[in-house]
Amino acid sequence: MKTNKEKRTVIISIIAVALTLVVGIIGFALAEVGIIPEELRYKAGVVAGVLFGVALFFVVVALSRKRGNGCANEFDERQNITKGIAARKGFGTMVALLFVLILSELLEIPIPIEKPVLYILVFLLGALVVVCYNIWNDAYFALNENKTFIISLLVIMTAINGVVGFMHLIGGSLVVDGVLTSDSLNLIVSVFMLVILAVIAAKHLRERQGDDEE
Amino acid sequence: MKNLRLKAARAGKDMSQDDLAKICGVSRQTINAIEKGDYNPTIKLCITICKALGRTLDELFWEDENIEDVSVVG
Repeated sequence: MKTNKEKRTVIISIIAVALTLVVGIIGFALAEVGIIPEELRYKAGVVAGVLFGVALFFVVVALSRKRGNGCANEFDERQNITKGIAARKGFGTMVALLFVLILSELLEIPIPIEKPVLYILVFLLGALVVVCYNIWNDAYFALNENKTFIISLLVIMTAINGVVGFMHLIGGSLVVDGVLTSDSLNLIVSVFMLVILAVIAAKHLRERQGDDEE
Repeated sequence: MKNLRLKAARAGKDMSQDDLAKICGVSRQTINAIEKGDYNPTIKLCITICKALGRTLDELFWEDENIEDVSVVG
């Protein structure tokens, strides 16, 4: 049985997703009628998409918890320390990459990647370092987290992004005029998630080989 | 430095690392890291482990006095 607090979190998260969807539909209708100016439609779409993503994230987090273990993710003291170290490494990675980007700007060295993609790439690489470090040091999954659910979700996300990315690849929109476009993001995210899954698998294999348990 | 006394006390109680971890509310890997000497637990966790195994802090976590004595005499 889920606790009342857990049930409340799930219900609030689902309401948030539903509200975001309703706002999105109203926005779409307003755009169709012509109330929202043409030049704002793209921006409104991006904002609605981000809001939907955030709301969905909370639903996933609420659902990923094992039953009867409270609402907050529970990490033990070693895991919390490890997570701190991982965050430091991720931050360091992002700063180093941003420094390289700034340097390339100053030296006017062209990078054949669209600016938004470049910055998202920096963010993703930093996040990848954090996630991989945490997985390898057993601090990624909380004590009350449903591992199977998270891994299944990762597999599904990898597959969806992979298929969309592959369609962009076939459509030829990945590289335009020698520059990597934002259409490449799905494929990049898919590759990143594959790396995460590979690290989870490697860690699992290591544990099964008995390196960890003495 | 490996904490063999903790490992022995756990084995003496016929507990796996997972069993002890569940009682103490930590992950199995944390217990493993403490036994291997890769992680120094807080006093709070030390006490929880001691209570779970029915031992004292001295018995499980105090450094070997003999080694200190030798260094003092030497």
